[in-house]
Amino acid sequence: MALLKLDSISKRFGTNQVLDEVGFELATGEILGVFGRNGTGKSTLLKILFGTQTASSGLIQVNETRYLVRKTRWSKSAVIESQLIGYLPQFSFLPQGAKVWDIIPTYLTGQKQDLIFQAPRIPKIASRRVGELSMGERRYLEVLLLGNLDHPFLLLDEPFSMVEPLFKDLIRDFLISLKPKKGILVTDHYYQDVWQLADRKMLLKDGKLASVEQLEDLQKAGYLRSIN
Amino acid sequence: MFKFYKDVTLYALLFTLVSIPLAGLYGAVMVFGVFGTPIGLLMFNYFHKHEYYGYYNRGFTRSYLITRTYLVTFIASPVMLIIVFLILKLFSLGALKA
Repeated sequence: MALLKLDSISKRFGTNQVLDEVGFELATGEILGVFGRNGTGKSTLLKILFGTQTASSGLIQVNETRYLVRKTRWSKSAVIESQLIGYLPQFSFLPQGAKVWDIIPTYLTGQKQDLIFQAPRIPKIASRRVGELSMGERRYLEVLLLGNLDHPFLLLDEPFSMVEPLFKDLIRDFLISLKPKKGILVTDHYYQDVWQLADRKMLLKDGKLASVEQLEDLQKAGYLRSIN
Repeated sequence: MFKFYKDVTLYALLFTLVSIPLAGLYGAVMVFGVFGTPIGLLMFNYFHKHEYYGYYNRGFTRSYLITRTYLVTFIASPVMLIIVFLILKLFSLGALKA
């Protein structure tokens, strides 16, 4: 089992303290859902963790290995080099002009490619260009590509947003299948999808991250107006 | 990694082609070796910035990608220079005349 620990992550944009001494733990075998209103720093937190965003302070630890957060743009991205953490950004990162069957071998080699080529719905889209795929097809392909890499931890920023129900189900089933070997952090404004999927839930508000147990807690914290 | 090199070099070659009327053939090869990669990277940042995340997820940092690309281009330039020299020499000897 691998354990990811975050300690004292702080980030400020001008006078706005977005993250204030934030910390949490994530172990392989669990899915952590992070909720928060727009601008509360969810994506920033994920980027700091992945190493593409700087922070004023903080420590990232995977098992016994410690990584300092990047404090300047010129600092080394040790987390990226370690390949311990995968990150799905909000936007599509795949080359729009490339065909699906050309992209898969650039991510996976040998028999691991078959995990994607034989995944549900992929044979139908394999000959198409990324730019021709629907939002759901593209997001599903991205999650499949990253989920099949060897990172023990996976950070997913809005995997369900604008995705049609059919592909939401496929993404959810795939993430559940990954759970035994990965620790997964999911954040999305489609909160019901995250709520159903996550074993543990946290809310980011006013720069602080706190555990939530019930949907009512999200309402009390002002994240939801009502519970459907 | 190869796709990154291919994308950046494509823009670098386009810039090199445009520079031929001003710099000449030899000069264009020098332009490719020295300015090609920075120009290619600027264009990649403009048109394909999001694709960096695909490389990051496979363990390639931005500095690794840039360094390798610059290195390959820098090494390829003298080879291109020799090829241009040979082609021009063959032309001057009349070997490539129709």
